Amino acid sequence: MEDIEKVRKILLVDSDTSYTVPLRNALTKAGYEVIYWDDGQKALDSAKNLRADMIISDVELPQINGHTLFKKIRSYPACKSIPFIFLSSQKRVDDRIQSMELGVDDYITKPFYAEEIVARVDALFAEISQLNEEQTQSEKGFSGSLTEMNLVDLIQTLELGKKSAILKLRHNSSIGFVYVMNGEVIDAVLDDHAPEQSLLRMFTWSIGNFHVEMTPVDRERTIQIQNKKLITAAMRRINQWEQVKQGLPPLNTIVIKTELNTYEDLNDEEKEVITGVNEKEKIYEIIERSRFDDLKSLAIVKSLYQKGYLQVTEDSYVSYTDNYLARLKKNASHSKTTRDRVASIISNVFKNSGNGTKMLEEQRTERRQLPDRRHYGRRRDDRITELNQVHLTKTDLLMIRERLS
Amino acid sequence: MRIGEVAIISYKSREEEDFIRSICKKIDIKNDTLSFGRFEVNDQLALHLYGISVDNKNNSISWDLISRKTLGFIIIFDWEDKEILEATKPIIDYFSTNFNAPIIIVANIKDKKDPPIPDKFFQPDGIPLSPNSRFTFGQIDDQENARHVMILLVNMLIEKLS
Repeated sequence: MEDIEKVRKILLVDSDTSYTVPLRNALTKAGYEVIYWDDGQKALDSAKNLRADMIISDVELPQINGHTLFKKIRSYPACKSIPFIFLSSQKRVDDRIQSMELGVDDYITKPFYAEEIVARVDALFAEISQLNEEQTQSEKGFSGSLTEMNLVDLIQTLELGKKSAILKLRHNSSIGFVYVMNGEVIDAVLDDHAPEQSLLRMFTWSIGNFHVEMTPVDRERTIQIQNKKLITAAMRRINQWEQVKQGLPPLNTIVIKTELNTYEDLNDEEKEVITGVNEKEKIYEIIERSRFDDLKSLAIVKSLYQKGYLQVTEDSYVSYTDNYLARLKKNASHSKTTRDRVASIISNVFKNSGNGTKMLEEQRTERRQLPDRRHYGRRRDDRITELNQVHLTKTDLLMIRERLS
Repeated sequence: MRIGEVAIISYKSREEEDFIRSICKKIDIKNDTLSFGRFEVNDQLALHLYGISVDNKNNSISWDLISRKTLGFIIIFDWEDKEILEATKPIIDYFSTNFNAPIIIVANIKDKKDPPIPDKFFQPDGIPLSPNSRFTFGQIDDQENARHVMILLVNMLIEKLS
């Protein structure tokens, strides 16, 4: 209760009074205490002792600029986790990305409405409260990104510890549940699919989040297959999925129907899918809506794309950048990283299981070699995989693409 | 300064120079072995384009050195010259076998307004030949076309990082 009643302090740093005056008024009206400075050095001097709950700063400041201010403030142990928002007149995507890569929590371009900032500040505080809550619950479970740990990893983790848990997986707009009892998968629920079909679909999810609640599971067993066979089926499924996916843009790419409308070279299934495509849709949305099995739907969409019935839109770049910024923002989270949290939970899970962690690592290493072999193909030797590493970052590549466009 | 390197390869022609000019506006360095152009994205980031024509047997060393740290390869051949197409096949095979980088194979056409093949082959994202290579048509001395080819390569690199 004390936390809720405490007035939160916001340090506002900006030399442009045409923005700061309405913003200070709006934040004060919303119940925040605002401490204001018009240059970076003064703000830096006061930040050490201020114990602000959030800092909102312009990027272009007199004395020291916003980027330097951010780095210096974050170097103080007491200020390491203070949420930080940048304001800037720069509208270029690469400026935004550079700022986000520094680790700021949000980036707002001028001009803005003061109310918009208040809404973002409220949202950021709410997000932090939720993260703190999740962290306090970490003894009961753990959350993370499916990119870092997919369903196979999670099942193997629980199997080794013979643990019972409910796994909640979120992928785009879909939410699925997997029930594990003493390390064995006993049931899975995803929309109205049968349990085994639900599992197969969720095995291919490599983007999204998971939450594992370590809790006793008392539920009727609907999946009779043992984990070992399940994992083998999953690996086969993932391999097939990845193979079919080759040649398609990322599945969150927005595509549109082209003007080809004769459909002469399409089979009935392809005709059905292309007819159902809305004006602009993300690829995964087409797959999710299709009545066919997801692997088959993916193959149909790929065929339509290759035959020229679907094409990527300009919006895809915007969508990609927004997703990228969202991921950056998430990675810049002031709490422990997902990997750290998962690592600590897993070490707890295996503290009584001897060499369980080693076994897990060995299994993972073995498994991860499979897609590599497939990907690098027939005549390549291991030496080749060391060559041609992409030493530019995704941000660099996005900037190159923007400059070329 | 961060620099990405891309190799532009052609057989017995100087099409790689046309391509570099379309992207970089000029050739900065040119000798018997290679041609070089620089595409500046900003003051911290640039692309270096190395053009190699494989008609010169002496250049085998240079491309081998360059290509080990190359982000990707663009292999250009004249669509209307069957002899060059045949000669380009082993080059494509060599690069796809020995290097782990995206390859864009460009069939150069002389006039994009009067393409020698049906329009439907001009797919915006190229035609995937393997996970690491795509095929596209283009008029490489046309800036817009050349940039489209470069964007294809960058998209493949982004995909590779994802």
